[in-house]
Amino acid sequence: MAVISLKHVSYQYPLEDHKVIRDISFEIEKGQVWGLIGANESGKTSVCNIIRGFIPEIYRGTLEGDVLIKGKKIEEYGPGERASIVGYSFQNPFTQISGVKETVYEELAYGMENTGVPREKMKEKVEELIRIFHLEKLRDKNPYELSGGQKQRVALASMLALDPEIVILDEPTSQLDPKSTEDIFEIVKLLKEQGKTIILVEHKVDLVAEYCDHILLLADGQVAMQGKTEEILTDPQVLVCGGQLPQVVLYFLEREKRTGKKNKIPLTVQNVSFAYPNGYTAVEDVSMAFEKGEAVAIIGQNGAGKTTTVKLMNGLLRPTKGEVLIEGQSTADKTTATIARKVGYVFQNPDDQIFQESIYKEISYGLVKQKMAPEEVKRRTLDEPTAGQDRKSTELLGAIGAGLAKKGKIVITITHDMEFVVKYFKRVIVMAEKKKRRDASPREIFWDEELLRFSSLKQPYLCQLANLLGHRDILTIGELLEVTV
Amino acid sequence: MKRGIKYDFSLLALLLIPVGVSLSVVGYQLSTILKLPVFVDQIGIMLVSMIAGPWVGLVAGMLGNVVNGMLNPVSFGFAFVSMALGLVCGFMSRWRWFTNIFGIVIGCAIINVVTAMVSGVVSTFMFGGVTGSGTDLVTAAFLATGQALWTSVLSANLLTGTFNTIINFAVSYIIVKRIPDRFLVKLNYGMPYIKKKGVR
Amino acid sequence: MNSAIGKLYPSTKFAVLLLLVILSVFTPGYMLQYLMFLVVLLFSLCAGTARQFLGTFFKSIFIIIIFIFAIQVFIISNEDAQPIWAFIHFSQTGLNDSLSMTSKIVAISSLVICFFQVTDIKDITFALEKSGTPRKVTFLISSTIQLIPQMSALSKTITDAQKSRGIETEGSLLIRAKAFVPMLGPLVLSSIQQTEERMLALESRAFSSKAKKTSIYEIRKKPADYVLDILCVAGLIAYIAWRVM
Repeated sequence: MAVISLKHVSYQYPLEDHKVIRDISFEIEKGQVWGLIGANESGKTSVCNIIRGFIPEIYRGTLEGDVLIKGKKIEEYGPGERASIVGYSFQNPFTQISGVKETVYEELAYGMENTGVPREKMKEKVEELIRIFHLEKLRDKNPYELSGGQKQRVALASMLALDPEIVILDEPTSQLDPKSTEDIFEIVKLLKEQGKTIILVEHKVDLVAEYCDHILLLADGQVAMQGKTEEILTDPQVLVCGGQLPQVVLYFLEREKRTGKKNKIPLTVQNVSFAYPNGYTAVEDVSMAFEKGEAVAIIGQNGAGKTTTVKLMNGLLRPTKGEVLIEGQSTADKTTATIARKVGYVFQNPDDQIFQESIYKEISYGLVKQKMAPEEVKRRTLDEPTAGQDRKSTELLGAIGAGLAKKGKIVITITHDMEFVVKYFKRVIVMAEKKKRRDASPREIFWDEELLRFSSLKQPYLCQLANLLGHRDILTIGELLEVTV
Repeated sequence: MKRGIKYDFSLLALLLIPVGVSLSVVGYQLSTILKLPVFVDQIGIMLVSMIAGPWVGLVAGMLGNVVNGMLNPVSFGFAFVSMALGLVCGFMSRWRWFTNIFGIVIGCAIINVVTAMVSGVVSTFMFGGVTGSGTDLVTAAFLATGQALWTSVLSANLLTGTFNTIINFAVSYIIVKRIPDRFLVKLNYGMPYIKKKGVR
Repeated sequence: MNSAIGKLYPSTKFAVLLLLVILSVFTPGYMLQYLMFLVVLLFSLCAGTARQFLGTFFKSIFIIIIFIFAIQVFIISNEDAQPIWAFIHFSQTGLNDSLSMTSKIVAISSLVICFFQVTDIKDITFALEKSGTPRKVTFLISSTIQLIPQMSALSKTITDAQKSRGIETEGSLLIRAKAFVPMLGPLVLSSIQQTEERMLALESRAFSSKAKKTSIYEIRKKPADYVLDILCVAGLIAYIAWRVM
């Protein structure tokens, strides 16, 4: 019997004049792992909300069609019952903390407390969760003070404390670094082994291909394609519908068928170190120089010092040793706002900066605020811009970055997205453990296995593929084709 | 949409209360850091009572002072001021006073009078006419001219309150207008502030 | 909270608080009340919170006490006022009134401040729930207390972000005032928007479940608590008897 069944479901939000979901029908059997993919605004989150019952109860609006969970209409489940049957994990780690518990230990028990689980059972379950999710070190910490990745793990664990049969994960890794992403997917694997039914909404198609056995592709509020992963994710039709295909597949598809300037150095970081008032050193003796028209990516594990370095460049932080020079002048005696006229900065967590709808508008907002023509702002720093973006937006960002570089600006980006780096950057700086480790071209960096290992970074998927095929120093699909065909 | 004590405390409204209290605190901190001459410490309460109603506003006001009171028990006494503020603001919002300029001006005036009076009563009976803020200098000035205690306190509070109330309300109002419609629909009192036409 | 006092059950401590407050309010004069301050200080020493206590006390109550004295003694025109200079007089009744009023404020404030320094919110919440307070109320208290420091930290991040976009915070009053809305606005809007998602997250933790709640944390009343409870009741009865006679 199908565990989840949607029949001819359509839905319209209140205040909207069009249906966000139109005539959707699909069935999910017990124990399956479904990847829900599609462009932004295609209706993925709405579908998840419908399965979970948030629509229509909380979102109101008009819902048509039948939604059956375990054979029963969703309306027939009592308040609080659904939480024990359908678990839901959101994209933003911050909002999933209950806010009423002071330690992770108690946070994990919160859901169980609400459903009246006896104390002894709760203690057992919490210990189990701590073990599985590797939360030993975080036991007594305040959930608010955890990093994004840690919060997400705690949120997932808390949700699973209620032992739901169905688990919906809505882009759980979009705000996490590679290591945390891996951790989350390890958990997905575990859940699969436990026989849970999983729905995973993700943009990282390569990971979806690895962990999901079925795919549901949504486009424009309708089901565009559905079926087994092997069949769907090898079909170029996916690209037409606004989805993405794994790198491996793109390579094979292609197989089936067939540029910097020197000038005055505008930005220099000289032997800069930074330590917080409590003594913790975030960055040690870092030196870098940037020239006009360069597009540079800074990569490294979280905590390596990337964001600190960039904040030192735009004046939010001041070096405790060394200095930052903009056009030859030290930043020591300028206010942050003044420096901002020369160095722009886009934050990693969109909620921290509060924005316009698109990153592009966001960048121009900063400029408009200062009534300046774009030409006058000398460099832009983009901090993890592709997190949570779909393919179209990622391409737009890359194009903006390239465009700015062409205009003579310096574009510095912090990112975990290795494919993005390969596509748009000619120079990569690797940071690890508070120091700059290497400054070279993407090709040299991504084939320096020891460096990558030391910095806890992974090669882009295509390089991994090339490695498997026995070829080295490959960066693009085109190059791989040349040596294998 | 049903309203009243029983219906107003939905989970969403409940979640707004800590937000309202924190915002008041942060507003106060920010105006101190920026060394502004006004205490912008009421926006949280105003905001919350405007969109979630008088009873939620009342609770938010009370809770704010209770939490503050743990560090400075004088706040306990002045809880009545915040509670009155939440109540009045909430009811005015319900009766749609804030949808036109007359309502806003008269509303602010009434809010100022009410808060000044409550503050005056509390301060006169519990603290000898003192509030612990700059208002007391104004009170002293009135007293020096030979006025009785009660009238001095009241006048001082009214005077300093005017500027305060206007600024606090202005900020709250601007922010409420910026809240997206789809959020306002979910609240019992959000309707007057929805921008889309034809939805009332 | 690790001292012997910290480990007492919250309702016991509350009973002590109540008794001492009643004593302070209804005893005439001011000697007892000022003495109370010293008693509380002693409590704090035993509980290891003396420094905190003094710090908080002086930061909060001191100013208002000074103001009260200033206004009552020197400014208000009482009958026995003796002029000193311009509008400043000295009034004996003012002095007596102030002493009486401020002593009560000092006593009650000290007791309250100390109470919250030796009692963990977690304990209070547990005790409240045990005695039947609805979950919604304890939820409100806990979430508010926890949220305030988080919002402060968040506002600092946003302030940094806005500075990076060229919003100046130093300079003339106008410049500083203009910075206010861009600094606060984003915080407010994002908090409100997050509230929606937070509500969904809480639903996912079965917040609206009608089952009888349990708690993974627990504290129990110990013999010391019962003894103190009895002493408090006895004390109250004795006091009432003494005052009536």
